[in-house]
Amino acid sequence: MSPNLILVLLISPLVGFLINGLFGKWLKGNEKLSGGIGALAVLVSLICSISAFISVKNGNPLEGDAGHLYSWIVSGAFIAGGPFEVNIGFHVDALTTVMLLVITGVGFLIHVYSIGYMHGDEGYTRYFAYLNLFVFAMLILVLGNNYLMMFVGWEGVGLCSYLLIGFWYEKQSATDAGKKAFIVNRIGDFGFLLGMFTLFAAFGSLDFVSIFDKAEAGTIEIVFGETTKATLMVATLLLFVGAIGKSAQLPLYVWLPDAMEGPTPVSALIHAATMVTAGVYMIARSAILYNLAETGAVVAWIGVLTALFAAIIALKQNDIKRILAYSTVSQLGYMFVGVGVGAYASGIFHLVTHAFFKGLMFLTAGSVMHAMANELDIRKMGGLRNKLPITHATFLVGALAIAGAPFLSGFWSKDEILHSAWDSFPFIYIIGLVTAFLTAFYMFRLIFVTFYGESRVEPEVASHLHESPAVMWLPLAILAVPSALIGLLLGVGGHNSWFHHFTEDVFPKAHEASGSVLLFMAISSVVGIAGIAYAWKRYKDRAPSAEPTNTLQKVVANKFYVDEVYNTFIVQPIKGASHFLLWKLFDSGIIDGIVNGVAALIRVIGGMLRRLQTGIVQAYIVSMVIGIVLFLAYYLFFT
Amino acid sequence: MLIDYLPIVFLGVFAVLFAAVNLSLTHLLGPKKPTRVKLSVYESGVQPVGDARQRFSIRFDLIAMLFIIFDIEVVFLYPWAVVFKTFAENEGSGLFILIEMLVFIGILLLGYIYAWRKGGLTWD
Amino acid sequence: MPLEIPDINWSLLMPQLVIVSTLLIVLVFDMFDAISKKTLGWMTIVGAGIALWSSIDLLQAGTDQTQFNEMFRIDSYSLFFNIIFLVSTILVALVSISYLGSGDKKQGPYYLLILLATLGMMLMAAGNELIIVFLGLELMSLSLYVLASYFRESPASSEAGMKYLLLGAFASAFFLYGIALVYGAAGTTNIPEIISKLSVGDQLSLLSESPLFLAGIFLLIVGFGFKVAIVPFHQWAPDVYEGAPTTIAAFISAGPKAAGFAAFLTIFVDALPKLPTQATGVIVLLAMLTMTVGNVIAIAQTNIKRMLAYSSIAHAGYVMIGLAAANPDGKSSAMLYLFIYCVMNIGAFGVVIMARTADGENLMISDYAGLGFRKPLLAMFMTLMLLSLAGFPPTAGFVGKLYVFKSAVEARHYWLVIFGAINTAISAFYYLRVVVTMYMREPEEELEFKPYPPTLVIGLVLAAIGILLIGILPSLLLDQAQSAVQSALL
Repeated sequence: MSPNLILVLLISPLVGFLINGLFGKWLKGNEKLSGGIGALAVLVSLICSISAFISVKNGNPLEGDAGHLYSWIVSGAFIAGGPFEVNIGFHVDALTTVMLLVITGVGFLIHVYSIGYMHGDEGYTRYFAYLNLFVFAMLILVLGNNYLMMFVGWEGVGLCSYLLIGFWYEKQSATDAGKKAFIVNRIGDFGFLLGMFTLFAAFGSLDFVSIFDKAEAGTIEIVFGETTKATLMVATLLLFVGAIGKSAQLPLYVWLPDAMEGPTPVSALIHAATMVTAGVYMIARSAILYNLAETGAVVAWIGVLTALFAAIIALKQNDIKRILAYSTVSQLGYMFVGVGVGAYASGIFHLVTHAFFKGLMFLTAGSVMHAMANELDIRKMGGLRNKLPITHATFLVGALAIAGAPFLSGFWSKDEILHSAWDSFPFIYIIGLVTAFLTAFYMFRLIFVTFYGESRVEPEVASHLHESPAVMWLPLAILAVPSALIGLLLGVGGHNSWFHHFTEDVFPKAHEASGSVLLFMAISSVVGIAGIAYAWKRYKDRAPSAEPTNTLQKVVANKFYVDEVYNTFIVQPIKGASHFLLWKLFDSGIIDGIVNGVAALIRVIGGMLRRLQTGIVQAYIVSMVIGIVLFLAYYLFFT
Repeated sequence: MLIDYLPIVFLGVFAVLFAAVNLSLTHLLGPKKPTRVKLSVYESGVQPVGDARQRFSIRFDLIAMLFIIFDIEVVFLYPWAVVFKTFAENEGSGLFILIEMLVFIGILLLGYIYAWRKGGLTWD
Repeated sequence: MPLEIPDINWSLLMPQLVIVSTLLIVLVFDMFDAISKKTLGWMTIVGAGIALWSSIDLLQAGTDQTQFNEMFRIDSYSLFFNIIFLVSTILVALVSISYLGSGDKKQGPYYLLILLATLGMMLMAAGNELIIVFLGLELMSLSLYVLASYFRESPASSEAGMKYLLLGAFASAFFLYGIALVYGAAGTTNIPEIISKLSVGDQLSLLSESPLFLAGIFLLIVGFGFKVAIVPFHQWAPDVYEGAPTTIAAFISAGPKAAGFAAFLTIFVDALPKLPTQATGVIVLLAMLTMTVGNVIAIAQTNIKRMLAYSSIAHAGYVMIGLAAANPDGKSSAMLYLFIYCVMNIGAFGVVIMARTADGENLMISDYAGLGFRKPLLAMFMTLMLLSLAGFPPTAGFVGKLYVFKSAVEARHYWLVIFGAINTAISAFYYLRVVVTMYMREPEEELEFKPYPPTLVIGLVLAAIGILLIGILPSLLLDQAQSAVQSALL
């Protein structure tokens, strides 16, 4: 595979961004063209991705020196540690191509869908510019052959996410949500940055290949603690902090539900299928480091607790997008369990299936909103099955997939993860199983309340109810196919499945999970079906009650008051401290004193020096001569 | 090393002192009997008329500058003419330095025409 | 002494010859009133373009020769600087074509003088001899004096030209005096010879301590210091930039500064290690003073042209860091920095021209309020140029600063680097203030902007592409600069 292919793949969305970004004024009148350019840019990337995939499949990856493009900064001995080099290059192996196909495949469909969904919006071209920029940043993230490029992409997707969450910036809640996402992510990014510094201190490089080689050979500078393992533990945990932020895990998940303020296709692409899975990708990419540091247990535990916690919250939500958002948080938790217990391929497999079915469900949710004049409350829906047949059918496929209904995609991937967890962490397995039950339950609660039973749609909305246009439902139909079948195609056979074979060169060998695969599958199926059945029993013909009836329900409905707790114990104290301590005392008093003092001093000096600039030539000559005399005196006499 | 320059410093100091002493002595000792005629401006015996601080037309400078440029051209021609014969006879490169000088004159001629056309030579 | 005709290889002189021919063609065509004056601008661009192409060609051929009895160097060092000058000239000409309009009858000399100044700069960079350097310096300076006062109806422009002439002549006198003293002490004006005379074997020679020689060197520093506007010889710069036509301000701040440094670096990077330590001390002090004074006064400015003037003073200080390092890395990084600086500074002045209204230019920073949304293209260019001037990645400005600082670290001038870093922080303040004004302040009055002239937009697009390209792919340029320095070493 030649790097040129990857360059085309990478540059295409950038070109799309530039066209829509720079010539937006001229494209504004022509939505089809603007959206078409956006979608076409991603289509080109998709075609290149398929080509790259075939190359890798034929045993021809782009790794090491072959992927090296050029050195951005080369320095002999900038720092004491040795030569400092920042390289730009690509690393395309099985893991990368899987990510590429997900990003460009799902991305392309979502671009197409957006052409219809964003119809008539003020910021139509701006939207496609941002979306293309996002794809570009995400591609940098997965294509880079070093942590710095990954970080550039990491920040880039963060920026795009911020811009797109606050896309409707006239809305206060949207800008607030954008800011929240940005600030919470900063905490994680700071961890990632520190992790990168640690890696650089330990390895003297940020390139994947050289880091992994050195890590396996054990030639590591000890930066923290006594042993190389301690250093690696610090580095991997710091990197994991970054993943917690970006992939919305406990305790930094709070930004993701609020991110639903953005346009729905954005939620589907960024906050379900691609960006939020960057953390999982990062850990899978660093698999060797996590194995050596043995920090996977932390990852797995955080993941499973997040999965359970988010699933519980989802039980009592009534906002269709928020239910999906919590479900995303929960499913991301599963992925972290997968990569945490060392079953990297399973974790990534779940990432893939999740991208399809969760992207699908977000888009169907968008289709519902489109039909319902942007109504989000499922209590005001009901009986939509007849009015929106395609939407209903595709949503059902997605929900069955996530609930783990036998033979659909989610069934295979989730089962693999749970099975892998069983041996080393039986508790995680049990919590995961409980979560699977809850997942099936809340997802079908959503389905039954929305699509079945009596219609509770307000009359004026009901009169306009219509199925979405083809440009919207066609992507739904296309996405429904892999959501249903991809597991059958790639996942059958557990550790001997096609997907595991494809990625076996990338990941360290996972131990074979013990026990009968069929038994585990049977347990999972029973749990999933039980969840669906229980939801059917409770919600087949009634809406959720308007008010929670007991304290426990109230706590859950209010999302365990996490936002309130954060607000009371972190945000307000920080604001308070910043107001009184930092702003009033420290800032106004000391820092302002210093800064203003310095600024005032500089300004006074500037003012004084400016006064030397009289505009009179004689004065200039005098000051020049004074300068000359002083320097001459120094030059000749201070030897 | 700076001690080497001491004589120059002495010379400077002596020169300044000499001038200052002489000027102040004549100022102090000399008799002063000013009359109207003595204080008037001396212009070679002609009666002074008007203010000496007049503005000259900028064209004087312009013509003077153009004159100097072409004057220098001629100055360049002299040494060239002196060595031309030697080169033509001994080195056989007479044609080359002839062309060189023609190019030089040509460029200046071009400048001359330019100045002419742009009105650099007209007084008004 | 028998006279000899030097063996001249004309093909090596292509860049200079092309410029001279272009100059003559422009001169001839300027005599005919029927020829549109814009055509002259395009001729300048084409001529400079051909010269640029032949410079690159010679550079890639690895030319390394001297001509005219070793007075004139055609090596990768001078060719690299040729590229800087010619790129600056092309950009300035592109910006000028629409700036001057086609109505002005007196436009011919404008392009003539720009070409003459460019020729002077090329001489300075190619000078292997102090006399040639001086010749180039004067050719360049005299053209610039006239250009600065080009708007004869404007008192500010006339004043700028007059001040520049008076102070420039003063500084030239110092420079010439310096040459005389150096010649007196060393007995030659050939630069490599002077440098080789500074040491005998591994030992420093008596010449390196001779007061006459040191005084001469100091006066050369003063002369160059004036031309590249370093503190305390900088005071002409803000007045001249403010009064001169904006295109000329862009030109003076770019090419001539690079030319001054071209000669400055030739002499001093090799000479400094062989001079007493206080010579380096003077350079270090000048660098610190220049950066600090430039940046600090820039904060107090409300006029964008003056702000850019002080910022260009500060940038001369950053280049001085590379000079003070006095090692091959310092030289190549200073060259890289100069190239980047020229492109981004002309770009910034270009945006100032872009923001013209019917009443003339809007030079107050407060006039830029709210432009971020009303004039997205203009604001985008300005933001890019300012970010690059401030040194943010992934713009070229970052790369330039990084390598300059790096070279000083290698030379163990830690304090200088710390000073540079602090100054970068100070400079970010006033650069970003303009960006903040553009995007976050409401305009006080609605300004009606003139439509953007196409040539100006072309020039700015080229500058923007250059800045991003160098920022992302610095090796394109850095390798050239480094190999230029390497070849000079061999």
